Amino acid sequence: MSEDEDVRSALSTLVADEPDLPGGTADIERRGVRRRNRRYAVIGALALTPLLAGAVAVAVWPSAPPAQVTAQVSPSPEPVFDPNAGSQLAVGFPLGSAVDAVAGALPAGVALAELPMDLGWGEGGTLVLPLASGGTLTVTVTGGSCLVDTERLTPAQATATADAVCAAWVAAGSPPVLPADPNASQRPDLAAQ
Amino acid sequence: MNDFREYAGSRRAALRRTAYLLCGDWHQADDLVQDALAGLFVHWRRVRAGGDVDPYVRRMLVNGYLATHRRKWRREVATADLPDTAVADPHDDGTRDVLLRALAQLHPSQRAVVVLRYWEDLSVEQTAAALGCSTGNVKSQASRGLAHLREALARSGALEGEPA
Repeated sequence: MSEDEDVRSALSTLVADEPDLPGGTADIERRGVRRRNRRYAVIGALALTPLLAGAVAVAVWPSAPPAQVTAQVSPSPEPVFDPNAGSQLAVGFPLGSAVDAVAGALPAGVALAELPMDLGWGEGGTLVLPLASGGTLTVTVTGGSCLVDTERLTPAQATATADAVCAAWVAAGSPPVLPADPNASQRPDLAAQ
Repeated sequence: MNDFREYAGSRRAALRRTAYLLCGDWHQADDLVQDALAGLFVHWRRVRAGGDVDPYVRRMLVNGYLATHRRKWRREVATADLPDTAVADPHDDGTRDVLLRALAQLHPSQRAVVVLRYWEDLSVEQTAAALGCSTGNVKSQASRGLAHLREALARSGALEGEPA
């Protein structure tokens, strides 16, 4: 006899007057079927709700059909960074870059003189720079090649200087060489017109 | 589903007695058993394949009982009529009423521990698994619940050798 037998027997007296079981297991089974059907309905509703919401959203979407939306996409897949975007400045090989490249590539004893105020690219992509020792140095950037012409440099020194100018031109993104504006005397007088 | 019918038919009466000891009302016990067995029906194939049908349905029964106690309304029905006056049963020495009152004074989870341990004769581990709590909790709850029942029975003189 267990030490808890007193409580066990007391508990058994509580269920001694057990009434008859109501109904049979068929009721339970029907209840289980209804519960299972409700469960399936809930699962189906949960699965269908996003699909229905998506279909309704597509149906009532006020904008143009998807084909037209894709047609508005920019043909360029990557944005191009343009430092002059938003300004009206012409994109070209910066004069300062070419002058710096020449000044840095000149051998010892040869230097550039003070640059004139109207310094600019000429026709055919030429740039004429004054030398401190007298004379000029002509840089030509055309057709993807660079040429330096001066009497003060040996052919090897001229080639090295031309290479430096080309390196600066490539570093600037190989821009076109734009000629400078015409002289003031050649400009049309818009005010008079 | 013949096997479910067979299982439900064979276990229904025992589950009903356990449910009655949990809630103290035969009608509510019927509801608890039907809920538990209907829930078992939904998952019958999976549970039967696992082989642990009895622990599963027992746990559903206890969860259903504890859930009714968590609800605020707790199936109470307001009525203007006074309850019937108890009539003395010549075959009842008062033990039933004492025990029912003592069980009703226990916390629902403590009552579930007492019923599972001392009526269903489950081990501490099985009781802890059915209630989803630790074995230490089961031990302490069972000890306190048992002491409370013994004290109530002793006061009424229902236990042998105890003063009335």
